[in-house]
Amino acid sequence: MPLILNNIILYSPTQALCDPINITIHSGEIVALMGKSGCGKSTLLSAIAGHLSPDFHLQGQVTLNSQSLLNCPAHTRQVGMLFQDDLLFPQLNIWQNIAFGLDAKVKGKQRKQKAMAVLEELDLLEHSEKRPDQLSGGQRARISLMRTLLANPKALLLDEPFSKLDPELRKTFRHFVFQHIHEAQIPTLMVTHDPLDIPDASIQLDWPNATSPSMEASHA
Amino acid sequence: MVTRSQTLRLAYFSAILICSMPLLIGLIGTLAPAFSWLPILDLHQPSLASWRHLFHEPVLWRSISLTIFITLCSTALTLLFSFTLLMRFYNSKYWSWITGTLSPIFALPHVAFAIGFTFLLSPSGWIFRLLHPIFNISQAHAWILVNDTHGLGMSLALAIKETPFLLLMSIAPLQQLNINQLLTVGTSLGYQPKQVWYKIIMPLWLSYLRLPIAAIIGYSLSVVDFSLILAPLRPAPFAVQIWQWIKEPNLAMLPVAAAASLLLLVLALIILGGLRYTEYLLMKKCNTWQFNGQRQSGYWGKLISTITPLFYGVMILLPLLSVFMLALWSFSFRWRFPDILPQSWTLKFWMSQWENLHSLFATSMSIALLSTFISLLFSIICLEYKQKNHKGLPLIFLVIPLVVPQVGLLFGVQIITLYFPYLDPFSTVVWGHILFVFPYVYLSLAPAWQAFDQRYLQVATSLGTPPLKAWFLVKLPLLKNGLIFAIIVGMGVSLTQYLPTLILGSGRIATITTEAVAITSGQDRRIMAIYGLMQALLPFILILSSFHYSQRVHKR
Repeated sequence: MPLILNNIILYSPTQALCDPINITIHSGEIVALMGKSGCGKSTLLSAIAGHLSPDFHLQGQVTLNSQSLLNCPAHTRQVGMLFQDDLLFPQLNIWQNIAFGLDAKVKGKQRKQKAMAVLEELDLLEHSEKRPDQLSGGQRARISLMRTLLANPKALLLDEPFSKLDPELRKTFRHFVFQHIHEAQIPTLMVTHDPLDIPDASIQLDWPNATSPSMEASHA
Repeated sequence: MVTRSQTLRLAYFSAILICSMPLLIGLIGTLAPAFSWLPILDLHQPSLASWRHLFHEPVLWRSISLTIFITLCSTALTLLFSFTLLMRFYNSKYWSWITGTLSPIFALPHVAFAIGFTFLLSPSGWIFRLLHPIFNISQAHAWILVNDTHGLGMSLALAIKETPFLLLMSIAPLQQLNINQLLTVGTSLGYQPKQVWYKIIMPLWLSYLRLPIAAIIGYSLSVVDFSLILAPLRPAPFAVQIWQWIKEPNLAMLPVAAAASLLLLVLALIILGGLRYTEYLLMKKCNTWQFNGQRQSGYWGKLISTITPLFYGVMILLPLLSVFMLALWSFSFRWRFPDILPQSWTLKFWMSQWENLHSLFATSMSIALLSTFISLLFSIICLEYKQKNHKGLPLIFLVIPLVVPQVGLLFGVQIITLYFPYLDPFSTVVWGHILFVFPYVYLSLAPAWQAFDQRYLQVATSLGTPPLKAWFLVKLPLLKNGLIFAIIVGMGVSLTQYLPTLILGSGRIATITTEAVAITSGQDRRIMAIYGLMQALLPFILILSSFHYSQRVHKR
């Protein structure tokens, strides 16, 4: 069930941001796309998730499980996304945030039970009734990942998910993320500017900067 | 020798005193007569007589239930219009165009809009003239929206006026909430954007807008000028009823009016508390609907989303047509019922009113300028004090004038002024305006003061400039934009005040607004149209120029 990027070129309002990108990511596999900040790698993820800003334009094909993604509405793409910020919803407490990710088929009391089971697994059960801002950054990041995975995405996009954590936390959280991705057996595309973020068992690619020379000048 | 910080403290407390005095006086002036203590009428023995009288008034409960209905209905419509418009259009390609249309509708004064609204929707109104050839109805009594017994037209008109206000108030919080990120997270979890708006954005949006919503509720509960034109007459909404008791030549009704004012205040508190509790229940306590996992909108969600553009159409078309009606009527000479346009035109009515308008303009402008500049001075003092001592103005001073029913507050002040017969009505009116202008000026000015970097002053003084000189030479010019914006807002508020002018001026001070309302009880639509247009003109110029100005600043 692979995620395939076929001849993708990203355009800013003025020019192409990259040479054609061709990536195939298989289930359980992690591809890390490296690039400097501002090169367009986050924009690429938004495009795959269905949130490309109207200023940009994407050419090429993205398929997930041999279905074309780019013409589907964002919420039907089944592509999970994780950001630098955990983006837990402030008005919901911790277990409610997790329950937000659960399928509607899980009803009533079962939702809370399931959410609590997840928290127990993370060893965060005592925080279940707290507001997100009462937890540490590392705890929130873990909850955010679990919320994303509970929605059963068919692919996962990671947008520099570790960059706001301090070095110690970063290592444990990175391990946590990759372990869960491995268990979920879904294709994962990660973008980052930091080589330290990249797990050992992953494929590393560099952002193919557009060969046209005008690009650097226009970004300065 | 008095130090500078002592001077500032003195100024701060005098400003607070002057602004809070009407609140205190208003309360005493209402409480005492309500319990039958009004020496001027020879009432010296506290009793519950006025309350007994009030509760025996045959119109009381019908009038109160009408007021509650209008308030809840208009607030619900305002919330529905605002939220659905945001959900449908926020950050779409139409959004900047929509926000551009909000300021003019917001700037249109309630009274001018109400007059135009009657020209549109009364039984001989323009809409029925349009429908006449189709349905061949001479009078559409079946669905009149002006002075209708249930107050439906009044609720709709209020909602149309309040929606732009709530939307304008939403812009800053929504930017802070980073809507696009919330939508991205929600949809990546499989939720339709509409569902993200309902489940995630709406609770946050409401929590940011509590004060504006409370102001809307306070306004709908207690508005008199707007109600005199559009609301049912018999029974009238409670605030109008109180106003009629106050105006009655029989002074024995004063204690009853005082008791009724207190009752209206209690009603306001109950409704505000009730709605706050409802918000708590739906958004916080019984919030399973927010995380039940339902990712698709149901039938209702789809229906509402389909008719949202219609909401926008109503919100923009009715005010636009109202102003158009005012313009048509003011130049018309003969205009018989089913005709769409006047048969003949004239300038006669403009000419006959010209001189009167001239002096009304002068009075309105001088009150607006004076009250705005005094409020500006007070606001600067309070903000400077806040910056020096890190103690902000107690929120209560800003909230009370925005939320508490005007009629009760002013009534109390008027009772006290009865004891000072030599008080100049013009200055009492200016003082009354300050009470309502000050919160708006303060709130418009505060962001500029917060954004000012204190180090500019430190640099200036370390270069040898005396502090006071540095303040005038460095700080004031940097805050020019904020000051101009606050002046425009303050004058807009002052120019549209009705009750403060009338009550505190004891009827001796006439402005464009008081005249416009007074004339609506007469019959001549052409004169009504002229005053409606003129009432709209000044705030319109002011707010449009502020909008233009802010755009220019924005572009820089």
